[in-house]
Amino acid sequence: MDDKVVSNQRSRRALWVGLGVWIVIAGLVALFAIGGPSEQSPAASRILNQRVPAVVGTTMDDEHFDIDQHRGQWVAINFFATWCPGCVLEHPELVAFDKQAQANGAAQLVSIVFNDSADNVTEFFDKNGGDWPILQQPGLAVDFQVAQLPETFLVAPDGTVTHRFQGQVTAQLLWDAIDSVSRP
Amino acid sequence: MNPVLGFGFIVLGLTASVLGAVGGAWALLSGRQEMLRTIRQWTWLVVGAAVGAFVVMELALFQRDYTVGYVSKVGSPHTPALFNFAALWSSLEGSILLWTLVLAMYLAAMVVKFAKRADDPLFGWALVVMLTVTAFFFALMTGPANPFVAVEVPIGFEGPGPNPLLQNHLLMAFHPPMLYLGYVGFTVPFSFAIAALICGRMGEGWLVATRRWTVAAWGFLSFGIILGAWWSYEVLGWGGYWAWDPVENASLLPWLTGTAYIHSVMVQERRGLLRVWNLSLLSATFALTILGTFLTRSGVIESVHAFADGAVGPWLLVFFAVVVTVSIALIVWRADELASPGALGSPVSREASFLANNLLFGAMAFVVLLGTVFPLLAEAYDGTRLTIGRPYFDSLAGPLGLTLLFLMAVAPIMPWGRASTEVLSKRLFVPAIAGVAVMALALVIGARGVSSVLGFGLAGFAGSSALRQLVLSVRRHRLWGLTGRTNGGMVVHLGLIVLAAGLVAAEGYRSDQSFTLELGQSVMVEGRTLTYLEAGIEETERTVRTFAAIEIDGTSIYHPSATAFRASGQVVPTPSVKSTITSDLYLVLLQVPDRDSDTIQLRAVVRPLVSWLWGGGVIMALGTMLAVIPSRRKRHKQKDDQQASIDPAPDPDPEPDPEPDAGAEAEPTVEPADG
Amino acid sequence: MTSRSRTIGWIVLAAITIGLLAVAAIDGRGVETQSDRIQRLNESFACPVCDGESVADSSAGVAANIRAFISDEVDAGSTDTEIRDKLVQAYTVEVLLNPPADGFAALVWILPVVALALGATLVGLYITRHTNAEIGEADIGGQPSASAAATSQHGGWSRAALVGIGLVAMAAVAGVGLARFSGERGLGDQITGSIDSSARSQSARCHQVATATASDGGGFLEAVICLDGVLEIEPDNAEALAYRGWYLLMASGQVSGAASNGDVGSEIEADLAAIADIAVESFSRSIQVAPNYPDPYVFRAVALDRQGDSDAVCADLEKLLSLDPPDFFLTQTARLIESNGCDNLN
Repeated sequence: MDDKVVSNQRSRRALWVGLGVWIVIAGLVALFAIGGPSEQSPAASRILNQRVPAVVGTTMDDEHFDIDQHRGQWVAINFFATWCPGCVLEHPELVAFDKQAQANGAAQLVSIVFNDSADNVTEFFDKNGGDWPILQQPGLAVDFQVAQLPETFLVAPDGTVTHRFQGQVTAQLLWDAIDSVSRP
Repeated sequence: MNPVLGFGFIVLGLTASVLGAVGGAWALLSGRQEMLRTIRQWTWLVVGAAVGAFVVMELALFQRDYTVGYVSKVGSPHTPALFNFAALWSSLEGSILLWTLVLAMYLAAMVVKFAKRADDPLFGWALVVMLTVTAFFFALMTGPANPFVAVEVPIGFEGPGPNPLLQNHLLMAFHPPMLYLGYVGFTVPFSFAIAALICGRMGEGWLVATRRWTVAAWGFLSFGIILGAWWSYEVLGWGGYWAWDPVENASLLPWLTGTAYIHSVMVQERRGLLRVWNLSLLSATFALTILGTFLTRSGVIESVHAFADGAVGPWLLVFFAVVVTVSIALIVWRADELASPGALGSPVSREASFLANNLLFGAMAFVVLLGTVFPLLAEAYDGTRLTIGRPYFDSLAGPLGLTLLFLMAVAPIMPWGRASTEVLSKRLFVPAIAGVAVMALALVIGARGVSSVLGFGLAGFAGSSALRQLVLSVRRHRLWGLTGRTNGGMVVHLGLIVLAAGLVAAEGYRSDQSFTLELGQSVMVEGRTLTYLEAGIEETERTVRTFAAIEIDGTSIYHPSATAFRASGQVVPTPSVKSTITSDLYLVLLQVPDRDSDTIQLRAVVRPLVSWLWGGGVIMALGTMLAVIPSRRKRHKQKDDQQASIDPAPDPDPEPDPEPDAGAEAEPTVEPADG
Repeated sequence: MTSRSRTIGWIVLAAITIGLLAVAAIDGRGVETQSDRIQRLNESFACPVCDGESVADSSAGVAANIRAFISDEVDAGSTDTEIRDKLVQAYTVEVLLNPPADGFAALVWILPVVALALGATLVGLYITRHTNAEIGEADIGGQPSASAAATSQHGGWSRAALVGIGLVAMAAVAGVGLARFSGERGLGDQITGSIDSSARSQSARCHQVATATASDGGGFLEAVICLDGVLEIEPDNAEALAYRGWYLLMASGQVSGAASNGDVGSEIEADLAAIADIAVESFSRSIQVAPNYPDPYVFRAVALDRQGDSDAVCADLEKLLSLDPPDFFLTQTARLIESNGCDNLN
């Protein structure tokens, strides 16, 4: 008689323990089912639609550049390095963009060197053309949370960062983005 | 042709395994013995299908037949033959194919090995479970992970080849198959466990029958993990061998529960205790292999070496859920019959130390699992994304590891049942002296830091405890004293202790420095002089390799380099390592010379005793092989046991492992009259 | 060996062990140098695109950038907390390799400790329950009889429950403590406590003082006073000793980062010489405390160069180069080697 009671007790306890364990694991499974890396990194939102971080310094042409002086104009900030194949590939597009921008005055292109030497950059620009402000400041990449190269940011005339492009851009892409904001 | 043929084999495999599983279950439930025989024949069809699919894929790779989808993904005209062969498992679909092949091989081995017990319903159910698992993997290949998808390729198409990181080193060829032999190997004892639960035969028979399979699977898994660590060190170039990366953790989890299991079963074999523990540990091990596969192939957790492909994820997750549910349900159902026939006896006994072992390994597994999934938890809770990196795991696993070392010293000399402190004191005294001596030696050499020195001391303690067992056994049985589960186990312990000592040294006394060097410049690192001699470029049709020649101490020259793959643009740093038995000097080229100057940025990591990690791994492999060789006593007994049924319940193990110190106590010792 | 002599043996072994561990606890590594600090910081941040690799280990461009950023910040005198805050601000909490100790993240530290304590309690319960019962009671299957089990269960339960609650409480506290100290020590390292209040970060603040109001030289003097404060806490702080001397020299105008000037009046010369001697003494003490710390060698070489002691300069430079100093020292050393004619170095 005693044994049967013990046995029932045991079975009931086993049921509860088993159920408890199962619920915990089911929670884990649910977590995996809904979890996963989200599309838009929250870090990105810390840049987008915020005031642009300070971009101030002396360019490679020994001129002073301050992004706040370009209020009223779009500014395209391009992070690049000569060793990054994507940057090299998109360079002609940037040259075109810069020409168009200087023609219509709606935008200003500025490049920030990422982890490269000044000499490399000068040589590259001499060979491949392009004449816009180039800054060399490692701190800026951190401020913009640059994660890969190339990356291009668009800053609206009021100083807000509106777009972030990871990867190569084309002149058309940039103009379309600018248009999409200017004409709501 | 190839896609159709390959896919045909897969469909054949799926059909045969489904029919085999369903038919087998029906046959067992309705008691039709003859059907079981047919089911076994169907098993051979399944095996044939898996082999066929594998052969077709390898042929397709060899022929560079790009009409096969998988070949167009990983094949390339430039890949050397061996890497091409290994390319089969370099990406998702192929890895599932390899898994299925290994599963089929184990299936075949099972049918052959247990041929004489074929009429036993326990074996029948085990086969059914195996076939179900095999059916799942074949199903994966008909659905989301189909390697034989037929594709159209333009003329002159050249495949990209496997991931460059996988082509850097030959060892990459062996690492996955070894791991799979381990993972999949655990399916066999798991099947038997489920079968035993279904049949209600809770005695120890199925444990004994699958003992060697479990040890072998464990051995493969251990070796596979260590191979992976070695590859990470030699090839990936980040300066270490274990990053607590989610994929690495995924392989470690089943190893942890599996190790706990192979120890804990000894208690059940001997005294019939811890039955629920063992069933839970075994089910957990198998479930974790599936979870691990899910983690690496679903993209849920980003990782340096995950196959990021989301399609298989849901399937694997569902399968994991099913495995867990079935296991828990069966254990709960049979809870009553799982009551132990005996009681523990004493807190100071081998049974209790194995229980403590279970606890510690369980805690370690908990830590690893929590750390791996916590970022997901945090994100689900409030959206923050956290990184749980090496420092977390190191700081928790460290103390647990040290405690386990201590247990490794004490448990093997513990007698079964109640142990007197007198016995413990006698057997542990010499090992304790050895431990203290090692600590003193470490201090003399110059080691500092409480946890490191303690680690060395415990390693000495545990090492001499294991040696003591071996010496006693060899004294009694000559060379045969090294074989058998207990003795082979001691050799494995020794290997693990050597590995642990290496870990303590390599982690605690690491030196990591970076320098900018001009051509011809020298620099001193930990007593060695490094001189930057020259730089160079080596171009092949696949790669452009920039290297720097670094001379060490004026004698040997090493070439750390950065290899750029033309096709993908990916740049892979290739480290150069000078290994000696006392330390490793690890060189990485951080910045290559460019057009302007020959300046390089060199990173030099010096770690002591790294080669002990690999040496320890080899000893562990050797020990595992010794453990599966039957010891002398058992060879004689085995002939009598040929006709024994699978579970000789109620009495556990008819062939108990030799009592520790049986040799010593057999010989009369002369004790001095007084101290 | 008899039982008693063995017991004595065990006690001796225990004593020796404690002694050896005490020796092991002595940290013979000396003060953390600048490059050590940078390495430590590099190892505590994760590369944002590398899935868990630390910035020190990763070969990605971002990682190199963050390393450069950290190096610049350390040179500029930022404290560890400031650097951490800046990087977290830029890259979110994800960049910390060690999860923070507060909020939800603390759970990751607390849970394992609590789980282990819980498990240990349950196992302990199991063991006590099963050893209280008489083994060998004559009944089927060897089960202890229900009544014996019941009585031992009852007493065992309440006692074990108390122990269990105590253990879990201790474990939770330990877990929180672990979280607090996380990232600040590792296997083989010393427990130095919280980073912020250490002499190290106070030194860093002194460097900031030096550069803050440097325009009239007053800043350097303040920095010397500040560093003297550090030396009161930690008299053998090699970095403080070295930089105290250097700021002394700078405050007295004897070095200004560029070539030193030579035209000052003779009485002032004497004072300057006295100050230089004090500075050299500081450098020498720093070298004595931490012979492998490169900075004081450069400083002393510069000071001795002004005094004209070429041999000593060359000796110091030789030692300096053997220690592989950071780049910005090399320009100084090149100049000194040339002007002192140290042929054996280049």
